[in-house]
Amino acid sequence: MLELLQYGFMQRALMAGIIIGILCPLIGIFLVLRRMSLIGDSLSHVALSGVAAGIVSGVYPLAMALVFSVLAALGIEQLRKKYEEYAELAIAIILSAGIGIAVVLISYAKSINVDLFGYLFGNILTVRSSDMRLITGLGILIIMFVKLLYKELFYIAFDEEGARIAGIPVKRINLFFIVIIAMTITLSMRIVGVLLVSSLMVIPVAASLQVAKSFKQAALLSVVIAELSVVSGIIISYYMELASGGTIVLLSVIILLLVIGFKGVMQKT
Amino acid sequence: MKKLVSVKDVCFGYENELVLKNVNLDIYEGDYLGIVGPNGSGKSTLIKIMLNILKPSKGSIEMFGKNIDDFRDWGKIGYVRQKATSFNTGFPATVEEIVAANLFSRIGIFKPITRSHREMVYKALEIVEMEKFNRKLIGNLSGGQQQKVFIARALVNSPEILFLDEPTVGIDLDSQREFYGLMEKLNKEMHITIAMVSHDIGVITEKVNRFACMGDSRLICHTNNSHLEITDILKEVYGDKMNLLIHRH
Repeated sequence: MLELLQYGFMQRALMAGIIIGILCPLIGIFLVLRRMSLIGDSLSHVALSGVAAGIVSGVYPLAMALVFSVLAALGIEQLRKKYEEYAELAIAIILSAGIGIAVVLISYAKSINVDLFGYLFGNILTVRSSDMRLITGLGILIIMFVKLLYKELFYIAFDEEGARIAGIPVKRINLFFIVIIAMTITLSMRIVGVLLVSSLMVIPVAASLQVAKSFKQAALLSVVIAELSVVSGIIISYYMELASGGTIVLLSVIILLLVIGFKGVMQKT
Repeated sequence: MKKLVSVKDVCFGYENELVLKNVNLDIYEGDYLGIVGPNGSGKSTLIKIMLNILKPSKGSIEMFGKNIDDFRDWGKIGYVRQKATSFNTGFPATVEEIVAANLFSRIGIFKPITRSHREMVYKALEIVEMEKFNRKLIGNLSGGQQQKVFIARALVNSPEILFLDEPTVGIDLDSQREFYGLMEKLNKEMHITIAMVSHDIGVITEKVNRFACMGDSRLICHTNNSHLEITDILKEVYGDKMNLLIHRH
């Protein structure tokens, strides 16, 4: 185990993993409770097109993905206003646009396929020092944002209309929040991969909702479950030479099944 | 008497259909106002316009003497919305967390909840006799208990006026009886002004001291509660077959 920490790439992967293990469920709990779980999938596909654009144009891919996903997040907010009765339509439109752009760019420059594989499924070997700086800097900023606006985000998730009448600046907070979601997805891509990033936002939360006795407990428990999955997933994927994203998500699914099973047994006794 | 809310010449429509036509309504300090009317008569829309959730196409609203767009003192207002109890029952929030939510605007962004805020939550729960349930998950309570929690949430800021939109829908008879008892206590003992939309015409005419009836997108009447006058007005709105049965909760 200690031998593992001697490698720079493992130190970076674990450090980045610990940060996204806090970020994903912390944002995910608000998404799940607002029934916006699919937004993660939508923005991650747009982020992929940003990565492709970055590789094609020679710009730092993660920065490009960040720009693309933040713009897409703002686009979802605008579209949600146009289709108030069909909120999920905005998510579907942006998801389709994201896949479309990514496919066109990938077919335009076939040589980028190898680079994209790591972004699609997550690869701990590919976390560079520049990625690490971005993940740490923005990650800490997002965690602070959620901590400071925790109570307002809670109220909006429970009852948006009530929050507005209580004098909470719902529109502004929603706008900030959607940008934060886009940032979280981009930062998590390196470790979990585009295709699985929304799973890390949803599955630990799903497990914590089974047993939590308060909102605070649900938030903390989902972070604990995510950390357990991420750290053990990175270690297992290193030793077994597996894609880190899939390993992490499978571990979180196993934890979810164990929690459901445990709850079932407790209810019977 | 101090005027708390003033609705002036308000019109509102959804697409091509006009829901409110030139509605004028004043709510005074101490009022226990019941707003009744058939489905689609614009009762809930009127409440939402008063609370600035919807914008009128014409006319204006004054809240505590200020134009609603300039009004910032939302702590003076409590609101229990329609189908308040039809929230996501799987939401992992305790009674205490739900009631404290209405204090967030007063506490301010980036500031934590303190002990004095927790005491305010406890007091609000005491008023509705739910203080023993403070650690329970909201989804595990009965409909009547949940309704009380939402009233406590509306009361936690010690509001001067409480708006309720069809608060007894989906609540059993015992809980309804308790609810109307609580409303009387809030109005008479705690001097909170109440404006309540309801379909329960019999109870409303029995309990309230002011009465407003909506019909055909208009405010048909706004009067002090007088059974004889109200019966005639309700017959005009609901038709001649309507018989008003006053039943006491």
